Amino acid sequence: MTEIKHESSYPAINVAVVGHTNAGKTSLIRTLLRDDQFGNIDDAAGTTRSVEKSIIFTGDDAVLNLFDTPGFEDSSALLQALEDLSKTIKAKLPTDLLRGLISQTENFPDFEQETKVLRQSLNSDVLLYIIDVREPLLGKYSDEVEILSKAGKPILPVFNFIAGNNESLMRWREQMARFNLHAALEFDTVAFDFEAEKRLYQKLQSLLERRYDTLQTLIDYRQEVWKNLVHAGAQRIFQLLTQVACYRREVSGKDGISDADVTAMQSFVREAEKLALRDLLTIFAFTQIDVDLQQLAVSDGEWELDIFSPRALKDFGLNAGATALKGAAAGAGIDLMVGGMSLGAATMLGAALGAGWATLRRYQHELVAAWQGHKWLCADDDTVSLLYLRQGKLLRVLTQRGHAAQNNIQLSDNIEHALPKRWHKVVTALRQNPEWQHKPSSSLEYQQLQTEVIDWLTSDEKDG
Amino acid sequence: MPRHLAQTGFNKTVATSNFDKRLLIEQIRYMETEYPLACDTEEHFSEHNIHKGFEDRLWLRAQRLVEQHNLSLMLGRAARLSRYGKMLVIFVAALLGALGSIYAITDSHTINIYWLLLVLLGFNLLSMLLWLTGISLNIEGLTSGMLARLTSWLPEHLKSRNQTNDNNKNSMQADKAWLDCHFSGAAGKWQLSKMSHQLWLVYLFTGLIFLVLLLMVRQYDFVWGTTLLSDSIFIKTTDALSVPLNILGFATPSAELVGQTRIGSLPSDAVQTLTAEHRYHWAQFLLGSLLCFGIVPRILLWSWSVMMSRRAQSLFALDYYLPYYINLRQRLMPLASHGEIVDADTSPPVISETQLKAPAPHTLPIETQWVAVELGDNMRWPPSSINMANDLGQVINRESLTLILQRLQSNEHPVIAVAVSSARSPDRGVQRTIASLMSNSAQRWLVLLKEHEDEPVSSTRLAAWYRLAEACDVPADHVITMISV
Repeated sequence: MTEIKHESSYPAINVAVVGHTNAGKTSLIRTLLRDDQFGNIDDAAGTTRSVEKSIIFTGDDAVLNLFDTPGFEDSSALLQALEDLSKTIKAKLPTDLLRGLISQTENFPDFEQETKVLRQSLNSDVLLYIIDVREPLLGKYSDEVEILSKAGKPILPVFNFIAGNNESLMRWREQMARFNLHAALEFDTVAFDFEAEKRLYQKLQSLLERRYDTLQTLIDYRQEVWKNLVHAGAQRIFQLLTQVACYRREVSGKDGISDADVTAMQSFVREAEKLALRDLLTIFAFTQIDVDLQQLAVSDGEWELDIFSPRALKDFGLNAGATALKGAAAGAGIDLMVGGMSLGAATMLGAALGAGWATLRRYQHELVAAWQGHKWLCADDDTVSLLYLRQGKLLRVLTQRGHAAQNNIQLSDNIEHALPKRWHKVVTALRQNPEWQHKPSSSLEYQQLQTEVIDWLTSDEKDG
Repeated sequence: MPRHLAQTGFNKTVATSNFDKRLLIEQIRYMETEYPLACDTEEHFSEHNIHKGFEDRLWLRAQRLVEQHNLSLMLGRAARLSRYGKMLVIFVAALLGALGSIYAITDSHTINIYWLLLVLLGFNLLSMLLWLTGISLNIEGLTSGMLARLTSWLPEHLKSRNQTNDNNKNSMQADKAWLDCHFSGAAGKWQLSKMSHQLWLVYLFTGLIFLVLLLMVRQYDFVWGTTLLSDSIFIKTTDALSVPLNILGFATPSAELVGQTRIGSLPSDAVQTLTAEHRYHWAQFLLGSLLCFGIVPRILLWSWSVMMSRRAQSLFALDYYLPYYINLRQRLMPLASHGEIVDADTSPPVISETQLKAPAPHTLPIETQWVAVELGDNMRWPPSSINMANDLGQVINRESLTLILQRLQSNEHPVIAVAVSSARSPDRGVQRTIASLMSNSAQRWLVLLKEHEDEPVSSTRLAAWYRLAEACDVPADHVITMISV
């Protein structure tokens, strides 16, 4: 991961987030800040009543000052008041008119919230005008735009709640065009994705040409941070796959594999998956609210569907009939064949001193197990494949490259189609190195396998 | 310098290598995987004006944690133990070297020269060759051998013995981190190489010293013999081995001398005449070989390993993709600040005490005048149940409001019903509009329109409408519902 450093001597760009009450201003800021504690959100008018500032950084440099403002509630009366005021004071410019109103707040007690919006708008470089596209085109909204345009600042309409509201979105676009606001942004604070955030900064670039480079630095920085998060997520998944693929449990030869052995293996897999899920949610700062919004089948930090249940298999297109997946495979046969090959080579090379002893130690369990007729119990291929598919899907949801709700697991009827071509080779390679279960290795082989799996998980072609 | 930075020892002049910093950070990470440690000054490190990279912030935090939780003894334990361990192993190697020399030559006054060389240098050469193969082919087992096994086995073994107390667990984690950082990966490969060369050096050096001591105080006869090989091979080998020794100034036996040293090559009376020169040359050959083929190559390999291990340690990097570091980065280097109020709300808080009675359908007087306010596109106005003559229209903007207010003024004290969409939330503008529509009416009704019977209305929304009704002097039982078809 590269350290990102940037020296900036420019003052931060002031961005006022404005709009009608309940349009989603605070939600937008929460999303941009990745801070679900910011402000108050409620399904009622006037939730935000103060102007609240937060800063977006690239490294140590403040780039954007975001101002959350109270919502407009009575723009029609405000516009009327402004029109009345223009008759009494001589305002050469529309901004003078706004300043005039602000200076006489005591005469307009009803407009305390609106005055705050206007004051902040005059002190900002650009206005983000948030629109709930589900709302009808009412006169009061036109009045809001008319008032805001008097501040003489570039306005970027941001269409919120766009999912499934295409028609309304079109109407709103036309409406904004009537005010000469052609550049606008679609930004769903409910179903947010990184690309939308990037588009927002790009639109700001076109509106604030002089701050182009500053914004570009921010875009690059955010891109890098985002890339690192995705990589970290994929690496965590690889670690889980390694843990499970490398898992071995010795079972005695006389009785064969008992239910207790299978249960022990299953609880190991469950626990490993649970920890991975926890880590992944943490990496992407997903709270239970996000989990619910994305309709992830997760509750209390655990998958609702057990990995060994028949439905988990069916969900990912594997037909297991009615029986639950045991997930267990006897490892001895495969293991000795694979192990034996490397054993031969290793013995030849290391038949002396520490190396010989090390080799013996490395394979002593296998040799002893083979001698005594013991077997190894492993998690079978289906379990590992299922884990891969499930975590892959989770990562896509977390990185918003596909929404669980709309994209409900429509994988092919054959699990093989959903898996990368070299999948089984990779799993076999992992199985040959049981020592990887506990600790990532610095060996070249491990690194290569990790890179390969991370590539699968982070590239979009495999998105089902 | 800010107080918290001074506190964490940031101004210490002692230079700490990057490896040591990262080692400390890793040790803290290992410990925190068991028990997260609370850091009292963490928020200071997340201040953006520190102008430090992520790693420096981690380092500051780690130092602060060491101070705050008194960890220095715990963190240094592995290094201390490994120092003792190393001293012990070096002592054993020295002992082996000394014993090797002594046992090889003390049992008789005749030394089989090649046998002795094989004992002193043979294993050394074999291990050196294996090490070289391992290093060039990058085979882990060969380069590190027993030592690597030991270092990975030790912590697991200790862990299983010390499961009981938390403090113990914590220090086990610190030890484990120390071992992992030093003995795994590229750094570990060279570290272990360095150690094994060092041990062989100790072994050879004490061997050499004891050999010199023994040769100084006792008199030995040198011989050699073979069962399978021809004598000429030994003569040629000795010649070849002598070349570098001659360059270094050692006296070496000539071909003739070598021939004469062969067991049984001389009549017993000739032994005495050759002895002085023969002993001198063979002793020089023996010591020179030890030095030239044992100690010097090991010194070279040792210095190479020292160099490479320094390099590997300086390249030792933390895996910032681990969830632990991702999480810490979010805490120590936040992408954004938390909110800060810059223009506070000064109005008194709204106290809402509204009775939440579910409104019911109700029939209104026949003369009721109807006005709709901002219904939205989904609702047709007027619904079929309303007499068209009593419909004054819908308010959607300032113009329509003015028009409807004019129409209302032509009637004296009518019964007025204002219809709103129950799905939309009222704002101050809607309230003002409704208040102005109702201002001249004696009987006021607020009708919440629903698209269909089962349409749910959230309780906060309903409460907001009741608050509005109260503000507009509409009695609570005059708030009713109606289907908009």
